[in-house]
Amino acid sequence: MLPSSEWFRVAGTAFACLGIVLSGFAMADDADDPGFVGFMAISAGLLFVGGWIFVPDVLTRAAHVFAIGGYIFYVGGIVASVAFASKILVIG
Amino acid sequence: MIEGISAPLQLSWIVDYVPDWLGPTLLGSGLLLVVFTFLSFSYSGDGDESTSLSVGTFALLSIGVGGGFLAVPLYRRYTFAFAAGLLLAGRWIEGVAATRLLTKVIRFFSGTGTGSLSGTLKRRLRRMAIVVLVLLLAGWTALWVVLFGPVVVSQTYDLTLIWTTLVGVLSLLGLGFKFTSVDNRVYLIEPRFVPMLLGLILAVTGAQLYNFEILQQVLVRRPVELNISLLDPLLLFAGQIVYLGGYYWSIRQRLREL
Repeated sequence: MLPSSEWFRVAGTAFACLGIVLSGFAMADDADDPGFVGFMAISAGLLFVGGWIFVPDVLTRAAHVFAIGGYIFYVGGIVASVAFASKILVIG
Repeated sequence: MIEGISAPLQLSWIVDYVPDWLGPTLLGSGLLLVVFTFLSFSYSGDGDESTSLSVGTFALLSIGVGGGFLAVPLYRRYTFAFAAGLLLAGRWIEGVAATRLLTKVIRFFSGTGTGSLSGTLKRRLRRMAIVVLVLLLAGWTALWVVLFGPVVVSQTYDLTLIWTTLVGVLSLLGLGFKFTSVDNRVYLIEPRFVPMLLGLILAVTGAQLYNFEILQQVLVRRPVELNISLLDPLLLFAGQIVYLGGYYWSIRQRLREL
């Protein structure tokens, strides 16, 4: 049995947030500035800890905002795969 | 008895495939396969095995997995939107593939072709024979059910099951034939195209077998009751336009290459 839709929303939002934070780290790494990396680490930590302590349902609320990610995924998933398939049919 | 006679004949089974979970399951499985292939692309960058696992890769993977998770509730609630989108995607692919033979003929007469036209025609005939075989098998099975009674549940259910199987198999064969006729070298360049295309084929087949219930209309003209979703004719019309769009795009691309 699959978990509930709410579970998927919260888990999806958590992963998306983590990805955004990690991409911040990647950008800091590209900038080759150790100070920026430290700043990102402290900010991310404060964001998550602060969120969990002071606004316990922050992730659930954010899930509704991030739900748009699902729509992007829907459009991108179908359009990108069809674009690939069309290219293969034309060049093959 | 009187109620049985006065009740209208249900004709909704003509368009309702059975079992009704088959379409959404195939569609979801196909989409998952497509998503995992895309994630594997971002995991190893440009296909270079020596690519190290950087923070950027993990960030992309995390956003991808998050997007996938967020799409699950959306899929559960709006499965019809996924099915409609993939049906149109299937029509686009058909439109693109329809120009392949035309290009072969032009190349044959202009002397620029690399393969033989007779080989292409033989391949098409072989595939047509397979399709005819499937149609015959379905016809004989349906005749068996009509003459000797039901095998699974009831005559109506069994005939609908045969119809569902026929539509599903023909969809799988039709799309499969299109992608297997592509030059193998394309797949050798990037082997991960194969699972992605398999996912797309499964998803489009699932969309074919999806029973649309949105904007459901029940037309009662005794003794016949017809249940039909208004989305069916709308998609049929939109599908023709998308097919023409795919055909036009493909022709433009091919003429540029000739």
